[in-house]
Amino acid sequence: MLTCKEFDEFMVDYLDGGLPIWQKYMCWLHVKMCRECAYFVQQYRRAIALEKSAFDCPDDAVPESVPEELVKAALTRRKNM
Amino acid sequence: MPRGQEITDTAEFFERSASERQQCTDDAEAMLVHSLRKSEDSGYETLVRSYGPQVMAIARRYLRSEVDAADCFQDTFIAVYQSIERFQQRSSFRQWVRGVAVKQCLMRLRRRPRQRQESIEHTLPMFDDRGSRVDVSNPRQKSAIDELLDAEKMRAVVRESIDKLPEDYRLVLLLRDIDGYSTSEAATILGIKLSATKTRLHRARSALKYILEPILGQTGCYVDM
Repeated sequence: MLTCKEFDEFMVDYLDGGLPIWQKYMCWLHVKMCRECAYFVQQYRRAIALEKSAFDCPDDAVPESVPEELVKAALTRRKNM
Repeated sequence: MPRGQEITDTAEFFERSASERQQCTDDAEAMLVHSLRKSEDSGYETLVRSYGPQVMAIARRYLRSEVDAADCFQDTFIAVYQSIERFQQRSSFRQWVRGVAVKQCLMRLRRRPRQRQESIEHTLPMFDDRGSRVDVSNPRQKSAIDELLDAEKMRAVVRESIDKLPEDYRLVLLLRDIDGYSTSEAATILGIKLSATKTRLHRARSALKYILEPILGQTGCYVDM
């Protein structure tokens, strides 16, 4: 079985689903057998989900967040090129 | 146009199938690209007004400075305008503009004097001699924030936490988790090896987990696990 340290090195690929089937199984088995790593993975996943939710629709900035002067400056700059 | 007519049109729009709406977006993008290639003033203004909020959001997120974000905003549109011939429709135009904005931000960050970064070593996973995990929980977790944060406050706390990370870690997190680049794309954008990108990403996520531990217990309300 993998040690916690070995499992930790696979973590990014494991959560991305990017591991070959055998390594994926070894990681899955480790998480099933190790309470500390299972808790770590749970908290780690929560942190990622929370991080993503903090930027839900990251590009949906409200239109007024771009000051009109800035829009005009951008238009003028191109005209002056 | 009478108000009732407007509402009917809006309702009709939302009743359209997703593919029809996508077609409308594709057509509008194609017209915009065509207009930019012809150097039309109206095309450039449409570009700045339509994509401005998106570009500004990216610039604020990466640069954390309103002044730099404003400069980057202008640089991005000039870069889009000057390199429009290089847009080859392998991605949507919106996606391409996003990429230009991100690259402009990174160029600007590279020009900034390197600041001393706070160590995150104490937040990283630790192991004993046998390779078993050692608990490195955030001590503040024991006195977790009692007040139940609403969704907006929660977002603010998370954004502030990301801002606290050292630049190298913050950038890989933004590219990979927020802007949706793959790990190998993030490696290319940052100009570092794939293995180094994975290490940075894991360290960044581990540090963020540590910082957020006092509120992670509350996430069940807002995060679909």
